[in-house]
Amino acid sequence: MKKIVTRSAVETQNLGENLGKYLFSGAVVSLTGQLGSGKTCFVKGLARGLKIKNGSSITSPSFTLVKEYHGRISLYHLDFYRLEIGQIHNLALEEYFYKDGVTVMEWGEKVGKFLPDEYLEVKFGIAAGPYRDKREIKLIPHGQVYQKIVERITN
Amino acid sequence: MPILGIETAIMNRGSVAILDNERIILEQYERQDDYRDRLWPAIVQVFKKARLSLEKIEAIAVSQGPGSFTGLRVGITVAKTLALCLEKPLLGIPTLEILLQGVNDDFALTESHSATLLVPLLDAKKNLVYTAIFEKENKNFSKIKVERKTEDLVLTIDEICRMIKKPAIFFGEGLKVYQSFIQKSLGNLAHFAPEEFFFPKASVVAQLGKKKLKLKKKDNLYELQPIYLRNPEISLSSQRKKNG
Repeated sequence: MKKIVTRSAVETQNLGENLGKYLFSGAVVSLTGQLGSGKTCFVKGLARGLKIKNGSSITSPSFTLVKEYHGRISLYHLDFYRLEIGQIHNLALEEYFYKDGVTVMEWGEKVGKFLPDEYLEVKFGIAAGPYRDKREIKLIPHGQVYQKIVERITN
Repeated sequence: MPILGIETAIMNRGSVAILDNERIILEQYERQDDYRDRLWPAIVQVFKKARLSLEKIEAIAVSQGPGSFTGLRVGITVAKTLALCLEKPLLGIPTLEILLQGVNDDFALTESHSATLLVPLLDAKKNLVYTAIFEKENKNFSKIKVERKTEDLVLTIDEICRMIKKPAIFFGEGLKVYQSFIQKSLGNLAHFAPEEFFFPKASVVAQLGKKKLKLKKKDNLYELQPIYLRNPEISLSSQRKKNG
């Protein structure tokens, strides 16, 4: 597990971009954290890391549920904010994990038992203190391949 | 009269076939990492190769599941749309029976196996498989009947193994993940059909469709549902929520 503190949206994006460079076909990343804690911001950076065109104009697919982007590999940006697990399964959204792109899901904890055995969990927290843009981001790897990636990621 | 077969139950691949008298034209595809749909181009291609126009089709047979929810929805929607527009019968064919027919035609009947059980396996992820148990009756090679012993099920690989008490042939892409577990679990009881029987083929869909049509059975275009076999725990909880 690695904890990284970012002091601005730009730094959060840069961290995302950093991670994006290491991601591979079939990678699954689960983002958890309250509203406004930086999940979507992180994904913008991650998209840049995957060489997605116009990655910085990514918005949260809270309503549309999924948005697909295509760069060096595909990016599937999911948002389970308005769903519960039964609905996620009805829509077969967990099938994205087994496609050829990178799956990044906001509110990923809602997927519960459908999470693959290996994935990267990224927990976003708003840091206590006077700086409103400060975030505490925890990178929690599940599985060897993500363990190695986390070891390499720096601020 | 030609029959169109559509098979999309397996993630990341599919096939389309036309069965015209005894002639089979098969078009298979695998998804690459782009977002382009491969089903419709395959349909166009198979008609081109068969030198037929859409209107010549007598019926549309489609692989009905279980399998990938997304894949099934796409295939069945396309099949329904064709059936509606061409005003031709729609024939839903259970995917596990497609696999079974494939193995029966080319493997289970020709190999002199002591095995009487035939067990298809499709990976449902997270240790689950889509499966069913079929049994060969009567070892007379002139007339072998295969009977379905269970309905289509979604079980853990452990659960299905515990249901097997006689020699069985396992087949289907679930073997990619679970063959070694089954071997350890069942030892000599387990036989395995080779890789060529891993995936259901649209050519078999069309053949089974023809049989079904001959029996004057067809499906209601507006009512045909994919065979999902949803994870039972999940359906239950979302239903409970609906009922308040």
